[in-house]
Amino acid sequence: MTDRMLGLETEYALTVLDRKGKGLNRGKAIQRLFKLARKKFSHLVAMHHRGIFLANGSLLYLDCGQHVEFATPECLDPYEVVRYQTAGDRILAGLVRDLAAEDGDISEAIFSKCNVDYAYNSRTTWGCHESYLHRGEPPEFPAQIIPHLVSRIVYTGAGGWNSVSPDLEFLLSPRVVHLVTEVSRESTHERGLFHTKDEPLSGRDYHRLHLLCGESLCSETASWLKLGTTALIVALIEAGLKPGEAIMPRSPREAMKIFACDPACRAVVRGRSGTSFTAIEMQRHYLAEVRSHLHDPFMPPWAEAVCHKWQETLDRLEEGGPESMQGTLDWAMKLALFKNHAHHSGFEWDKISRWNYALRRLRQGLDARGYEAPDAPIRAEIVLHSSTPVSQEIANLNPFMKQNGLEWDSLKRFLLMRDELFEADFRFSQIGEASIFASLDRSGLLDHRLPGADRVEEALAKPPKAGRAHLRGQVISRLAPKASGCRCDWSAILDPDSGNMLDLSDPFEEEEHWVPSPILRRRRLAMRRNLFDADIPF
Amino acid sequence: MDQRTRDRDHLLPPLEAAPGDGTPDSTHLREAQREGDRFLSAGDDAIRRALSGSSQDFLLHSRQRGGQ
Repeated sequence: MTDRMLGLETEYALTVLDRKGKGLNRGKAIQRLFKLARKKFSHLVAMHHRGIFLANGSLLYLDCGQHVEFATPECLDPYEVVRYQTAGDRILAGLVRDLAAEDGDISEAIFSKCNVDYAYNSRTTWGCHESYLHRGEPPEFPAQIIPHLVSRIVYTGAGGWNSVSPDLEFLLSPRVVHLVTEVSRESTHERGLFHTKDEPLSGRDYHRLHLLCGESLCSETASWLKLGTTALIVALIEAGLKPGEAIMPRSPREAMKIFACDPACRAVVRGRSGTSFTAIEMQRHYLAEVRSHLHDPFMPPWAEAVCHKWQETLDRLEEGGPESMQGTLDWAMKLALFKNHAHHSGFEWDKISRWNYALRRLRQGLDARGYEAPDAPIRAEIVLHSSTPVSQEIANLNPFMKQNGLEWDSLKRFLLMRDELFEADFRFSQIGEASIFASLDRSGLLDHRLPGADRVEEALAKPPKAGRAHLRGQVISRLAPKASGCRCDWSAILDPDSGNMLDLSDPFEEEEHWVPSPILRRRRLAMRRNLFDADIPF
Repeated sequence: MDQRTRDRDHLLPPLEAAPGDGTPDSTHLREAQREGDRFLSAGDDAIRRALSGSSQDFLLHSRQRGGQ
């Protein structure tokens, strides 16, 4: 099979603030947001999701966990996925703008693609799930693709802070610390590096590789590389090759953490074969494997373009470090900006780890005395008060502070900067023109745009040109204005009026064939057009 | 050059490799440095605009429920 099919599901954080900056009820805001969406866009109500399928073939829904999620239509190449993801961002940016405009109590409504929540003790993370259609053998996948997932973060990492640590610790991929096991079946608990769920959403013979460990990105090039490189490795595995076998780390999760903590991209991990390698070396191994099959019939036509950018990215990271990619990769942009912000706040980057050490000691002291909830933010006014509960720790730390040129007077400023850096990450990935990323993009200083992923205006309303998403989009455009009771799913559209079903179980279906649906025929007698209304929450 | 631009100098690659002798390499390095400078300056402005209130309050009130 030379045809590839892939897509993204993006989870968005929603923040709604009133005129005093206090959080408003998010559940009510989401309800209103979906009502606005139903007014604004041609759609059919989704059958098995709390949401709507749009005329561009995508799905906008409320996922478990009560977050808004956008799933691109099934796309045939990574350019198309990036285009539809950008369209999804614009759709949500418009809706949240409308929401704020119609409610005078709202001062600010924000969707963000920030991957982690920095609110105290939150431990919330939002995913950007990838789906790759294949006809390979699912049990073969973990061993061959895990080394890729571990090491690709040198270009797919969103960048951000470790949100489960009391330290201020920059990570190439902040979601890494939320992955608690290597392989899992669960998506919300025991989140695994590799997810074994195989829900094909298609007919027989198809499987869907569903990856949970990725992150939402702002850079078009980084998103495209993430999808393109992974799809090519899927193609190799599907063809029966074993591209990851020689480079499986002894402990994949540990390896991923080590790579995530190393912006220089020079950290080395030990492989099961006894050899050690850097993340860039692991990626070069995969690149060589793909290149050696570049002209095989199972390779898609865009493989060469991906390999070219893949190599250029690895070369630049290795030779020029993160600075060489600060206009292109999300994590490298954030690293440069956050370092600069820390410097202007009076803190040199290399001293942050020393502040972390002092804060850990204070934290231990506060915890030992049961002073505050574990992991609660440390407050300078308590720690430095004349009757401080951690006087002993402060006394013990004084020599360390002096030796490292740190002053207690700066503690409050350090904690303030820490909160600012957390908010800056959230605001970097905010959807719409007010984000830090959008502001940088407007200044013309970024090099992330992807020729071939443009025509976003078209993608707002029209489906991809081929595949079942094309049919789905056409049918939605035709039926939605009639206010029909049709219901939509990834693999079918049901029409309760006629009792017919459009079968989309073949992901590459090109023609519209409606067939009688035995289930509908039985149920329509009793329920008529109210068939699925009980499932509509909006 | 304002104070913030001067402050940023420590973040940039050392200039020893670009003695300004007019060779293509030194010109390229200087251009890269200027571009890096512009990037940081634009980012600094963007962060200042984005962080208009108390970050502590913002984090508290934007607290979220989980995704996957």
